[in-house]
Amino acid sequence: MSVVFLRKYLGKLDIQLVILSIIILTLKLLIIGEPWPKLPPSECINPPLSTDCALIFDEAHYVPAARKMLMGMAVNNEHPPLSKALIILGILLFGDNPVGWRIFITLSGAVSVYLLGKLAEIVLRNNVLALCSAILFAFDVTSFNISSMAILDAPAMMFSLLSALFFLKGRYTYSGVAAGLALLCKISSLFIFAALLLYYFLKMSYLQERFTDSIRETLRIIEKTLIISLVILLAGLAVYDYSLKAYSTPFEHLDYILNYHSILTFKEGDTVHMPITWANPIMPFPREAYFVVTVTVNGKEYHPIAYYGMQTPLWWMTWLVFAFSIYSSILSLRNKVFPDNEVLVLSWISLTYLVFFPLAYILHRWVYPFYFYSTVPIISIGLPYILGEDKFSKTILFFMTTVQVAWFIVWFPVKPQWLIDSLLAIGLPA
Amino acid sequence: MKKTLMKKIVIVASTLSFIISYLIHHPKINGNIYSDIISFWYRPLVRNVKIPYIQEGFEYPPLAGLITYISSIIGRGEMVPYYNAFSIILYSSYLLLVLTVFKIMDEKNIPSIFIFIFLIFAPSTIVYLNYNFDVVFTAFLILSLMFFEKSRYNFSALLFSAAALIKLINIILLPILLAYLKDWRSRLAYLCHFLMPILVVNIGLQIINPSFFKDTYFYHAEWGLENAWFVYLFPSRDSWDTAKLFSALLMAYGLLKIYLSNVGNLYEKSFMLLSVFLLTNYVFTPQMVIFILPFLTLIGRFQPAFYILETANVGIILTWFMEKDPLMPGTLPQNLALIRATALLYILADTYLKASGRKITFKELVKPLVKI
Repeated sequence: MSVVFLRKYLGKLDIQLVILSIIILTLKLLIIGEPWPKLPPSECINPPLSTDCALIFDEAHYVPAARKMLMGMAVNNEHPPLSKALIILGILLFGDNPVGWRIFITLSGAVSVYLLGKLAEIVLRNNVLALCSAILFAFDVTSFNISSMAILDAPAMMFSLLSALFFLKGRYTYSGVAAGLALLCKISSLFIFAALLLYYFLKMSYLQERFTDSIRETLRIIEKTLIISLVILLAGLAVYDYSLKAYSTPFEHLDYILNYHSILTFKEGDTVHMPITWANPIMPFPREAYFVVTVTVNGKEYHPIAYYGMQTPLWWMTWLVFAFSIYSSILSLRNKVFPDNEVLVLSWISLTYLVFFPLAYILHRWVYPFYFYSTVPIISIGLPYILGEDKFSKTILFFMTTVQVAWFIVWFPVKPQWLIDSLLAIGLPA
Repeated sequence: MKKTLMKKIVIVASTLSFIISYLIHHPKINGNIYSDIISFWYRPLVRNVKIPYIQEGFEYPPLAGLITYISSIIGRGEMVPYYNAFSIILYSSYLLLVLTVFKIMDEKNIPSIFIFIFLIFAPSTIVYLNYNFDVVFTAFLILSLMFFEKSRYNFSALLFSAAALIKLINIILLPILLAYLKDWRSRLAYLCHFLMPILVVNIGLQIINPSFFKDTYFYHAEWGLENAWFVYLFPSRDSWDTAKLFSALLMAYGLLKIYLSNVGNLYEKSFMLLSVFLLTNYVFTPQMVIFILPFLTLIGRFQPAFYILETANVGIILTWFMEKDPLMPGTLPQNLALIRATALLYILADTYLKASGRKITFKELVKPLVKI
């Protein structure tokens, strides 16, 4: 009876994705309080902030900003307010502590896993491959870390994936609404949305007889999506600006955001991890320590808490996925078939990753490896797509997925003692 | 009424409206209204009879510089002779414009009354006719479109080129003209005839004076917002660079919308494109309304919103010098510019819907919002 029940329900992708998301959520909730601050919130508002404030990475910007916003101050205006509003909501519900700061971000991260699986289901049309995609994304340790700390990226990702999901389902108005919410979390969400529009334009250029028809069709979709998303962004900024008296109009606020981000340039001598190092296994960027606690016992060093920004096996597959998509596109076009998935993959990688090459190398704009978080979803979908054809390829895919999960376990940010002992016992870093 | 008699009436009426415009801007008449012509006179370029672009920079394209130079030569450093010479050139252009519009109306059986309402006695014509180069630009543009309709493409392209050498704005009409042409060969020929004079003159001047492009064209990029409705969205001067980006995106969207629509004849499309340009550009000086007046005449439809547009547009210059900083939101000129933009938007929507066989109703206007 129970076997029949399990087969009936566990065989459904939706249930599998929900279970996977719950696993990720549980893991996140188990470590949500690590690190825990030793100083009261009142001493963790203005810089310099002590490590005893227990703020991981850019939490040092956003948690103090949320505290000041709670006091009625308009701060951190270079970023839109929705993610910070979620941090505030958490503080109001659970108190000014790590649980409060991180709870909604954590939830966003877990929901993103489910949404990624649903997106993969549409693209790959295969439940096993879609589940594989979701696992690759869920156990991407850097993505896990980013979506476990009180920063802007996880809610932005959640709404971006929701927008992409609606977009691929042809529900453009809803896609625009979700994109608007993503923009209200982080302006750089525009890159994912632009990738979707580019994909649609290229598709129309192939399918429509006349080029003008493809522009007309794309313009129709832009009206339904981009314009709605911009209206939502402006409305959200307006609520923030008028309630906290930050700017006289949301357009002025948008001007500040654009100006702020366009002047963030580096000089000669600055240490910048350029985009080529983000997905390159031969010359990777050095692991970035977001928050690391080091313990030495009997001459053995280990890290019970270690939030890192680092490459994962999935990231190494980027160029492979990119190159294969180009090759496969050429083959499809030769056979007079539009390479739908390949164009989606190429557009997404181009506008979330390749776009940083000219920005960094030509315009000298500061770039950070964690920007690659926006590219991870499409690599998670692209890899099962290129390895989903035959049995041998699938074996490689399952092997890769296992390696990704193993990597996650090794670099899991907050390790229990038994895991530390086990890793040390087999000579792995802990 | 006989055509010849009507033509005479049109000429007399045009002369009358021009005389009014001449008098209200005349520098020696007390209480005269500001005009760009007189403001040019105070520059060394005109006062000391210097050659534009070569001896002294000028922020208008070369044909506009030529008109100014001829006027300054005749004026020999004297204000009134210079003003008179400039006025004669503008009057000639005005007559050319009116007669061309009249000829097109006659061919299309459009009632003559519209030329009096929308062009000859339009408040903007009277106030902004003897003011700047707009009437010369519009005359060349209308003449070019008339020849285009008659399939005299080479002549049309040369006149289109002349218009661009006065003010570059007509370039926004180029895509629809090229779309009307039946094959790539004729499109290429039109482009060549259009581009050749522009390239020869501009490259020649650039060779003579290496800062020609910077002084003439890039100068405008440094301008701030002037009478653009979105100054209310970007009230601080510091944010005007973003306002210009907003303007460019809005303009690209609006123009694309018209280019891709299969709505309206040549004149309706031209009107819609020019209106989109005026509504989305970060500079919408009041004399620019002259661009659209002949098109409203040729559309030949009574537009009540036209009087709101005109009253507000004339009001801009009449209230301009009452304010300490007339470019700022909340001042009288900017409030009038906002009213003007609303009226023009209404006329544009009305033209678009009527050209596509629909009526402008409240339901039609809110339909897209309800859909959302």
